[in-house]
Amino acid sequence: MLDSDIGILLIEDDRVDIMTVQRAFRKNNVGNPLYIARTGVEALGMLKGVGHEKINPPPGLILLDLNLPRMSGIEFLEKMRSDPELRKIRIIVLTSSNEPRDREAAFKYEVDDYIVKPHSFEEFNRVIATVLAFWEND
Amino acid sequence: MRFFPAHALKSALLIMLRIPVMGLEWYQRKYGVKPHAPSRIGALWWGYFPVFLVAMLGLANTLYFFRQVSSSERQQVTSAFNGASQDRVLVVSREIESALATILDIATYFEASPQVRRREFRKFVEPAIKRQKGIVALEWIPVVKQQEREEFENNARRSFPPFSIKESAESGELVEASSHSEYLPVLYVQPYQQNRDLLGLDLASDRVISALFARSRETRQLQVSEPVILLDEQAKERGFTVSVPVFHPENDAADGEEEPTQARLSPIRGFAVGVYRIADIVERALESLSPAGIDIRFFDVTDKSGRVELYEHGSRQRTDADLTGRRKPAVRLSYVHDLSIGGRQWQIVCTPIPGSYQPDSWGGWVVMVGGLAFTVLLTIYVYTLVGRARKIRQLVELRTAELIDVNAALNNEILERRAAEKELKELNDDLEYRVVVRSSEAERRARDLEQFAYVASHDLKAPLRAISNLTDWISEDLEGKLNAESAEQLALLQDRVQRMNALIEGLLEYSRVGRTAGSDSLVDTHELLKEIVDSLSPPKGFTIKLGKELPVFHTDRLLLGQVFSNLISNSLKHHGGKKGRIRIECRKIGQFYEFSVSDDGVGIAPEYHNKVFMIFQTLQAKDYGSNTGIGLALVKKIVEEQGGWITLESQPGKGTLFRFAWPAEFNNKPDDEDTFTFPS
Repeated sequence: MLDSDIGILLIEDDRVDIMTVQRAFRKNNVGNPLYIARTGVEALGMLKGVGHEKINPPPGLILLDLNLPRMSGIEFLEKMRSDPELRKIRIIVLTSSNEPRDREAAFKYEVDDYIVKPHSFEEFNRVIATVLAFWEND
Repeated sequence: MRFFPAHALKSALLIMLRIPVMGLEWYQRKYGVKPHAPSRIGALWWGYFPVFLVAMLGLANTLYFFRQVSSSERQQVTSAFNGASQDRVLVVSREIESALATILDIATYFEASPQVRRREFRKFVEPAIKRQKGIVALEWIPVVKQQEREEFENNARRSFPPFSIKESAESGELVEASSHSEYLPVLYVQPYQQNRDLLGLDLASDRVISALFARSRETRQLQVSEPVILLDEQAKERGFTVSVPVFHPENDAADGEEEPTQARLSPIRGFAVGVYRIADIVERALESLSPAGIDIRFFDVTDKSGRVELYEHGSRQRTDADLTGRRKPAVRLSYVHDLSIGGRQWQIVCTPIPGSYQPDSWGGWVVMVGGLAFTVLLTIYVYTLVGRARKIRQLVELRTAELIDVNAALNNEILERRAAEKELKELNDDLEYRVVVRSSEAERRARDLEQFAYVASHDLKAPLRAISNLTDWISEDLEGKLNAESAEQLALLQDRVQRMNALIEGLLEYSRVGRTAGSDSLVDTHELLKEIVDSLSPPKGFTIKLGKELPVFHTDRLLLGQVFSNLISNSLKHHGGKKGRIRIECRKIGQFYEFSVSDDGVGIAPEYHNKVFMIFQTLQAKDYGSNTGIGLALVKKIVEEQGGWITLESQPGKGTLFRFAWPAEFNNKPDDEDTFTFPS
C-alpha cells in the first residue's frame, strides 16, 4: 500500500538523470512527492533538518547515485547505516557503475537493490516501474 | 804471570770502549730517542759480549791454574830440597859436635886426673881417632911458666928424651925456644907419626892459636879457631882447631864448692886441643845419606869484614864436567843454616846442582797450552753460536718483516674484497630496489588503468546516457512534427550513442580481465554453451553444433562464458553469408582442454591473422552492427590470463577456426583486492 504522503528522495547530481527519473515517475503516474538532493551532504541535511527543511514524514525510499560530488554514495550509505534514526530507510542504488567493487561495497551497507542505470529511457522507465511496484508490494 | 798485564790492559780497554756506548744508551732511554741506528754498535757489542766474556774467563782461568800448578811444583821441589838440605846440615852438625865432644872428653879426662902420662893419653884418644875421620891431631898443651921450664922439660924427657920447648925461627927451622914468661908447648900429640914435629913446639908463638887460647882462657869454655890452612903432604886444606881449657883443681879447702866465682878463679893448667880437617868431617857425615844433588859450602862469617870459605862439598851426583862449569847459577833455590860453634859463626849454604831440584815445568805448560787451546775452542764455539743466533735473529727479523708485509697486503686485499662485496651488495640492493620500483610502477600503471576504467564507466557513460535520453525525449515529444530527414538523423544519433556505449562497455570489460578474482564452480561446458547460444539468438539460417566430448570441470564460469560468447558472436557477425554452420568441439591435451570454434564463413586472410586479436581492430566498416573491435582482444587476454593460448586458422573463403587451450584444473589467481561475501 502506497501512502501518498510518503515521499521518495532522489540523490542525484546529473540534471538529465533527475529529469529521467521525474519523467519516468510521470509516465508511471506516481503521485508521491519526489524530493531531490544534489549531494549526499544536502540529502543528510534534508533528512535531519539541518540547514534544510526537514522532510516530514521521512521518505520511504531513497534512490541513490554513487558518483556524487563532495560525499560519495558509499560514504552516504555509511552515514545512513550508522545513524539510528535513519538506518531503517530503504535505499536502492541507481548508478552508472557496473563495477563489482561498487556493487559489493553497496551491498555491504544493506541496500535493497543495485540498479545499473539503463542506457535507454525505455528501459529506465521499466526499471522505475519495477522499483515502484516492489515498493508498493512491500 | 806475564800474561796478566796484557789481560788487564785488554779488560780496561774493553770497559773504556763500553762506557760511551752505555752513555749513549742511557741518553736514548732518558730522552726517548728510539735506539735504532745509533746503538747498532752497542747491539753488536752486546751481541758479542759473551764471546769476550768466555775468552777472558778462559784466559784468566788458564793463567790461574798455570800459576797454581807451577807454584805447587815449585813448592814441592823447594820442600824436597829443604828437607834434603836439613838432613845434610843435621848430619854434618852432629859430626862436628861429635868432634867437639872428643876434645871436651879429653879435657874432662885431664881435669879428673892430676897426672896423665903419655901412654895414658894415647890410649884415651885412640878410639876417637879410629872412630872419627878428619882428626889431624889431638894434643895436650900445658901452660908452663918460665920458672917451671927446667922442671917441665926434665919431666918430659923421661917419657920422650929429645923433648925440649921449641919455636919457629925466622928461617922456618925449629929452634930452642927463647926465654918467655909463659910457654904453651905441645906435650902430647896423637896420631904421633904425622905430628911428631909438633912435640915441644911453643904454640904461643903462633898468632892464631895464641888468640884461640886467649879466648878459651878468658871464656873458660870450648873455643874454635878461625879457619886455618893445613899443611899436608897431599893438599892445602882448610881446617880448624878446637881448644878446651883445663884448670887446676879448686882449692882443697874449698873442695866440693861448686860455685866458681871470678875472684876465686883457678889458674889455668893447660889446653886440650884438636885439629880437624873439615873436609873429612863433612864427607864422613854425608856418607850416611844418599846423594841428592846438593852442593854444600861452609863459611866462617864471624868476621864482619868478610866470610872465609871453610869447605865446599860438591854433590856426589856431579860429574867432572859439572864441576868445571858449576858456576852456572841455574836455580834460585838455596838453604842457609847458621851454626854457632865455639865462639865462631859458621854458615852452611846448600844449593842444588844444575839439573836437580828443577820444578817439572811441563805440568804448568801443559795446563797453559791446554787451557789456551780450550779457551780458543770455546771462544770459537761461542762465537759461532752467537753468530748463528745473530743470523737466526736477522732471519727471524727478515721473515717477520716479510710476514708483516704479506699480512698488510692480505689486509689490504681483505679490505678491497670487502669494499668490492659492499659495492656488489649495493649494486644488488639497487637492482632489487629498481625491480621493486619497476614492479610497483607496473602495479601503479595497472591501478591507473583501473582508475581510468572506473572513470570511464561513470564519467563517459553518464553524459552518453544523458544524450541518449534527451534524444529519446526529443523524438518522443516531437513525434509527428519532425520531417523524415530530421527523424532519420535523430535515429542515427541514437545509433552512434549506442555504439559509443558499446565501446565503453567493451573497454571496461577488457580492462576488468585479470583484475577480478576468479570464482570456482563446476561448469558443464555443454550447458554453458547452450545458454550462450540462446542469449546470442543467432539469426535464422545459422546452426550451431556442439561436440559430444564437451567436458564438465572446475573453472571460472563467467570467463569461459565470455570467451565462448565472443568467439561465437564473432563468427556470427563476420560470417558474411545468410546461412552458416558453427561447430564447437573439445579435446584434452595434457593439463588443458583445447576448445575449437569453427565456422564456414568468409575466412580471414593470413596477413590479418595477428590483427584480429588487437584491440579496436575491425576488418569491417564501423557502421555495421555493434562491432566494437574489442571481442577478440578480450578473448585473447582472458585465455592468456588463464595460462592458455589461442590460435587462428583461416583462409579467405574457407571459413575460420579458433583454437584455444583452457586449463583443465581451476587455479585461483592470487588477488590483491578484498573479496566480499554477498548477502544471500
